[in-house]
Amino acid sequence: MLRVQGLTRLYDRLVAVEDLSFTVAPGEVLGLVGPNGAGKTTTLRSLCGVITPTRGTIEIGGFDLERDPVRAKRQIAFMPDEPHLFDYLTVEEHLRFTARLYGVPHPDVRIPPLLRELELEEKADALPTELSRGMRQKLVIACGLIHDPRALVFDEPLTGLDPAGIRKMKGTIVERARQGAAVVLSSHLLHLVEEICTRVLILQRGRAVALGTIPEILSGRPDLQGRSLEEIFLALTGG
Amino acid sequence: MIGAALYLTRRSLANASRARMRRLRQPKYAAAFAAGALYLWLMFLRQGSPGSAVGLLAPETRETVAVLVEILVLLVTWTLSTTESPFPFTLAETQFLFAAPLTRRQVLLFKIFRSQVALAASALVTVFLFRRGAWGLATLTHAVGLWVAYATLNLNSAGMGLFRLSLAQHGIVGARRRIGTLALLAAALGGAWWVARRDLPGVEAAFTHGMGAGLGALTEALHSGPGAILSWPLRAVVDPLLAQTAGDLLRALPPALLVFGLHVWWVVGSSLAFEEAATEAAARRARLSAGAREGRGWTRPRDSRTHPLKSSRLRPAGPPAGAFVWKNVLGVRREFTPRSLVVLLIATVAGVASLHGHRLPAVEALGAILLFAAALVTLLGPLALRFDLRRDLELLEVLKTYPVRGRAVVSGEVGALLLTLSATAGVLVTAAFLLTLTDASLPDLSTRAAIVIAALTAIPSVLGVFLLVQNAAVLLFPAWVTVGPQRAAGLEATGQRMLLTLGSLLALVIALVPATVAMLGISWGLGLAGFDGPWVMVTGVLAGAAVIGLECWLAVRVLGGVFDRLDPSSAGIP
Repeated sequence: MLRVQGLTRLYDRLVAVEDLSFTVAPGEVLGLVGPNGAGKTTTLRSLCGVITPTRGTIEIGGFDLERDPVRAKRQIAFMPDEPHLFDYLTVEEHLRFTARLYGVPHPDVRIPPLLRELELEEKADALPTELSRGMRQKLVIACGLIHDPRALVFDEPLTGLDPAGIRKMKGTIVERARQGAAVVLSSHLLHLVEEICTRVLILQRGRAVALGTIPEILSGRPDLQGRSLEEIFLALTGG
Repeated sequence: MIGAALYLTRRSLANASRARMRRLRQPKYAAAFAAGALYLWLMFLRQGSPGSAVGLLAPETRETVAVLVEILVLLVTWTLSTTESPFPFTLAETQFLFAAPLTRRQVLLFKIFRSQVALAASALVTVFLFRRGAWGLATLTHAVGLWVAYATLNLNSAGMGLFRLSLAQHGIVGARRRIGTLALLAAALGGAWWVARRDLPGVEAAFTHGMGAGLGALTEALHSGPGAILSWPLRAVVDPLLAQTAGDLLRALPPALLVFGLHVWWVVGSSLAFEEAATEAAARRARLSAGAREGRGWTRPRDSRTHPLKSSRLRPAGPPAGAFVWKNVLGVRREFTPRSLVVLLIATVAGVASLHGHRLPAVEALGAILLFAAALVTLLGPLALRFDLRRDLELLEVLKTYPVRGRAVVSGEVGALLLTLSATAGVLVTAAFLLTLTDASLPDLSTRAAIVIAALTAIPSVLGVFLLVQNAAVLLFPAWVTVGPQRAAGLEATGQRMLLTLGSLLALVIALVPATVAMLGISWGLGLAGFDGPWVMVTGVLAGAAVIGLECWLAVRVLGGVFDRLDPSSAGIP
């Protein structure tokens, strides 16, 4: 579903991501972890077409993001950690607008259950300024889910959510993967990654230092056997 | 605290300058900087010797003219100033200042102090430009005078903004807490009315003998009796600006600084009172809410379920540009409040009144008002409303995730204002035409119909160019153009706005060259073929509009490419 090959991104002379390759199959949840400045956000933004890689290719659902950006972007949804919304559109209008851009055939059928799922039903007519941060975050997620994307990218998905929201969000991610979506999530919450991710990609200074399931990573480092992801992470990144 | 403010200002200035210098390494910014510098040199600095329009006035009437300009500025800012808080704190300021062991008063003084640095720099640059690059004591004297005037007027606008906001948001609670301002305002208005009744007939009579005599009488009225008391604060603010020597400035400064200090005291007090009123009003609403639950009745804030916002349906299928048009039209509808209509109406009536010294018949006057409003909508609408990339580029990262080509984004973003403003101006022009349908004193009906059709064709063309230039500026130079819902505010942004307006006019002229060639060519060809009359002009305008349409189509494709290549990480959008 998601195929990244030799992804490199430079900011002037600074190498943010270098020669990164990985794939995410349908139903998989890949956890992207790394210390601050490791290149996680750059990787996620490249995956969604927000920024253009300096080198390398990204394929989403078989479409090359550079050569066929429109069809590639139709397959994916990006949920950033900061909810950015149009301050003059209501909750429902955000969903209608997004549905039209993604060519969702029956938004009237699609929107009500989505609002219910994310507990936004009563706020359908509210403007973003009338919503709490958690609700704005839920609206961004609703906009991301409206076109039933085949790939989902989350940047710190639990930021700003209350305990009930966190449980619901974890459920949503796992459920979408179970339905066949390829999921990439970046988080500093290693227990979240350990709990819901099927594979882990550890980044350090823009390069992959480990990729695979936790047993696969441990097979290359027998000295870390029986340790938690946090301990593995600290050992691999020199933290 | 002043030390901290100075440190923050110094470091911010140094770091911002470094970032700007780095940005100049990009060829497009370097080229634009060179063009701007060349423009300033040609317009202001090349001619060497300083000149001043003030020098054309007799010395004794300069102060009177300056006071009149000041009154006009005050009236405009009182009417048009935003009801947003006059002290918008950035996220960083909120995080650092509000959590710091500072009183609220100290935080406000910190903010006022920081704004003075920008105003002083703006005053210095303005005087430098208008004195055509001449440095010296006179430049410094004028800069200090202008800074005092800027600073006081800025605070006055902030104070009035808070006053209006308090009345609008907190009703009777706000009015009670602003009783001092209300009393002062009432006294000033009453005094002005009394002085006007007493002195205006004499001043009016003097103006019939010429401008000099009129200004002389006005000066006399402002310097004698109650007029002198009422006008003292106004004169105190402009006197440093008119000082010719350092000695004049030193004499004029103490009263000006006293007025400035009173404004600081008023604004800080108002801001604190506003917060207290907000707290009290919130408590009052809570009491009313409790009363409602007990069956005593109350008025509730907007409930989105019972008072939904007016919306319109978006068809699920169709080109993506249509979705952007729909979104921005909703935004325009929500921003265009009754207050905007009142301002437009006042501007239109004032414009028509100034254009026509003589009285017009009622129908013709109404027609003129409608045409003037159409002109305002066409020329100022693209500047006043920002529901396009100027506002949405703030969400560039979101826009870039959509499965949409850049040209669809650009055409959709520009399209909403193009359609809204064209429709508004078109309706106004058509209404003016219909209103004067039977007026025999105007040119014949066929000629008027031809003119109206030509206008209805030309309006979208002009608007298209204006809007594309504004959007091109923000796409090409996102770090230089204010992005987001607010225009660059304050007197210090005047230069930026002036350059953008001149750029728009220049682009319009350039776009009009091929259109004019096409228009003249078609008209000439039709003339050769034996056609004559106003419909030849209409055909020419149609040809010109088609050329502009083609130019706009090309511009959308080029700007679409720019959007596709725009990288949020290096665009410099704050």
